Amino acid sequence: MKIKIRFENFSLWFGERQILKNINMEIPEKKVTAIMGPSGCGKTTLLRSINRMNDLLPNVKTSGKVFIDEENIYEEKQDLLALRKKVGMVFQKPNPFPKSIYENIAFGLKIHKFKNIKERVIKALVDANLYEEVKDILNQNALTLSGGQQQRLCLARAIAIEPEIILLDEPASALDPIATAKLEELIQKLKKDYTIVIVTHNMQQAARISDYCAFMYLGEVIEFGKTEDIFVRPKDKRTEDFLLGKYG
Amino acid sequence: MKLKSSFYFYLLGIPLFLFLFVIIFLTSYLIAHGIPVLSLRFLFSYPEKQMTAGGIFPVIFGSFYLTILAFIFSLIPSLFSGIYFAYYAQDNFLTFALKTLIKSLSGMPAIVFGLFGLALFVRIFKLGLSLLASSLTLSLLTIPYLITTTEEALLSVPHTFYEAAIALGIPKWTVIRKIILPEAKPLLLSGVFLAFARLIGEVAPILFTGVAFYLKTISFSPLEKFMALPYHIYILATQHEKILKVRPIAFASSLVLLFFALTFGVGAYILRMKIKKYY
Amino acid sequence: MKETPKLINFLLFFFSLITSLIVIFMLLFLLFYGGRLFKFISFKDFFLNPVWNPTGYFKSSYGLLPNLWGSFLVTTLALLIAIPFGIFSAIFLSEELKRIPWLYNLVKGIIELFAAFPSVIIGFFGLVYLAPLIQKIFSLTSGLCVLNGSLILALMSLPTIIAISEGSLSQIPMIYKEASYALGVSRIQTALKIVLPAAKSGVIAGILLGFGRAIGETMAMLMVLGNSPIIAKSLFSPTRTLTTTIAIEMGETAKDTPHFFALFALGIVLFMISFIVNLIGNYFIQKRVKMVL
Repeated sequence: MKIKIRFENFSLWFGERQILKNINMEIPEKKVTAIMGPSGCGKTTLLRSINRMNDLLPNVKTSGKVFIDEENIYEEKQDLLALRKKVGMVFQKPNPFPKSIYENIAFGLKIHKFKNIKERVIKALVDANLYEEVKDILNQNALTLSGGQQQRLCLARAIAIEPEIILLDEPASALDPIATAKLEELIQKLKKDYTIVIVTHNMQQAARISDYCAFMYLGEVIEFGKTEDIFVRPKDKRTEDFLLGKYG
Repeated sequence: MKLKSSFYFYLLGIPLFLFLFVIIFLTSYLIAHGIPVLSLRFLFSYPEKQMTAGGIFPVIFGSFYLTILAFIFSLIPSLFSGIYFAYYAQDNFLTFALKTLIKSLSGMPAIVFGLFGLALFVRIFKLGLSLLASSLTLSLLTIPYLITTTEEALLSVPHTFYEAAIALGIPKWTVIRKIILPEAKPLLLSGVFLAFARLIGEVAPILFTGVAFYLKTISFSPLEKFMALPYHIYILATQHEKILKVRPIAFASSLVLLFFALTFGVGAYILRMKIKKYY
Repeated sequence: MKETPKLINFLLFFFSLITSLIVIFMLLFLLFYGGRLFKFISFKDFFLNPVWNPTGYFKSSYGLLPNLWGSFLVTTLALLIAIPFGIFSAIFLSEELKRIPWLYNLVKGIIELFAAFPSVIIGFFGLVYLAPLIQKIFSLTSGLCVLNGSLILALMSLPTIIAISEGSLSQIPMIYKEASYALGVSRIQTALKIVLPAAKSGVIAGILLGFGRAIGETMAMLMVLGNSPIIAKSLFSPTRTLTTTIAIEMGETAKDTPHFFALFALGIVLFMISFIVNLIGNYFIQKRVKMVL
């Protein structure tokens, strides 16, 4: 099993507060890895460390390394634009651009100088299980779509530029159960071609869709392993307590 | 007890209604005295017989030329500064200092700008008394205001669009140019309109940088003196030989000035209302 | 591809730097020209001199006092009228009219529209309507006086004071008010004793910024103050302000004469007053913003 992402003694501070404490973790390639834990444990921060989106916030300090394909992305010389092309992200609340459905996907393609834009847009929509629903309204404003459709559009937008990793930050938290089910189905389909890391506070969701699971608590990764192992035989008491619903 | 409290409360409303009454009275007074003189001829013909008859076309022309030129000069500095403060400046002392300096500029009396313009543009830059000197002076007045409105307009665009674009690996400047700026357009335009409404009524900065009362022709050359609406009104009202005879023209000119100022003001308001709601 | 092209990066900072330096250059130029006055007269002869007569027959006198006094007198009187009017209006607006949204928006709209009125027009009104009125009521030879100026200036300051005060009052969370009502306190008591003190910073900011704008007003004052360069001793006396003296006399002054420098010296005083008042006013605006709940 090949390792795609590797955290090595990685820590992160917002000003004086330490959010991530000495993370050591290996995320396998082309599997779904879920990061779960109670509110405020740092899961979103951990996720955003993979595409260095935390850099956008003020007063961020890091130490340690994060390797993607054995290259440390926290090196000084790292090309952030190339990194973010390689690592796609879908946010908690759907955020398509205020443009047409077509333009949403075409925009990224044009900037990254892809050819055959039209075909790629359609392929992305097909891969995101969205094409059938929007094929006649490609020129319509993306904000008119339903929440679930917008989220799949955001996914299409991300996969259009051929990333290798897809990060999902609680992507279904704003969606109704049917839209959520559709999204989860999509994720299962995508893991054949992409390494997927998903943050969720919904244990059942983690159990449903992930192959590997990391349990985080107060900025540390307490346990990591195959999902069945974590859920059936948790090694740490804190993990067990979380799974039993003792804290949310 | 209940009745008394409400009574006192409505008593509190008297100052407001008094104020509103004065506003309405003032406006009606102007309209009543100005409308009889207003006509299309008035707007499009030249003054005759030493300003006691005829129209105010060159004055309107001068005002617009002046204001548009002032805008052209202030646009780029304001836009770039606004973008800098919204998306590039760090939260440190330097930024605080820069912003404080700009804020203090925005509170400066217009006449101080006039003095500065006299010293810098008329004398040191040797532009003499000219439309150029005046519009440059006016642009200095506009800049702090436009910077603030630009920054606000940019910050009003939901941050989540920015994040989504950055996460796609799109360069920062491209995101600003192609996603943020287009979205901020209504608010940006609103700021421009409001600035226009203010500028068109400003006199102090142009008093000794180039405005004149009576010019025979209009000129497209910015190196000449020019006429302007608010100054025209001022002179007609206070210094003309035949003060009473030209008073109706002063009223009419006031209405014209008011019309332009309010049109841009209302335009700005409408643009602000057009902001789409993001859900 | 780069995040931001080098040239753009440079221009972004460059323009921000330049625009913030404008105010400093302004001061420097004012000092350069205004400072030269003191080659001709002493500091005392400027700052403590009650006579402004730059074109005097025998001896020219460049006294700051008549102008400074005029500025302060007219502005302070104007604020004495505008502050209570403004605060009560703001309270009424945010506490009462808010319940009737269409009326609230209409009134706010009218006030905002009035704020966009060019000052020459309001000055013109003071000249053609208010002056004859004052003249008639008080049996004067002319209605162009301190009283007229103060009224007009009060009118012009009201939109600023109301807008900023009302903004602060509106931000006071409902919970404060609800707690007060639940204790049986009347609406007006709540408004005056709970909401208003809580919005203190914003109201003070409104007053200070209103003062700053008022003391810098030129055109309207030119039209209604009567323009007599004397120290005003009564409400009905004509007078000058820092702004009107500069405005009136600059046109008739030869370059590089003491008179010319004196006008710039007046400009320095005006700059300083404005700068300080605005600094303090903005400090209070920051204080208002920091009140997060």
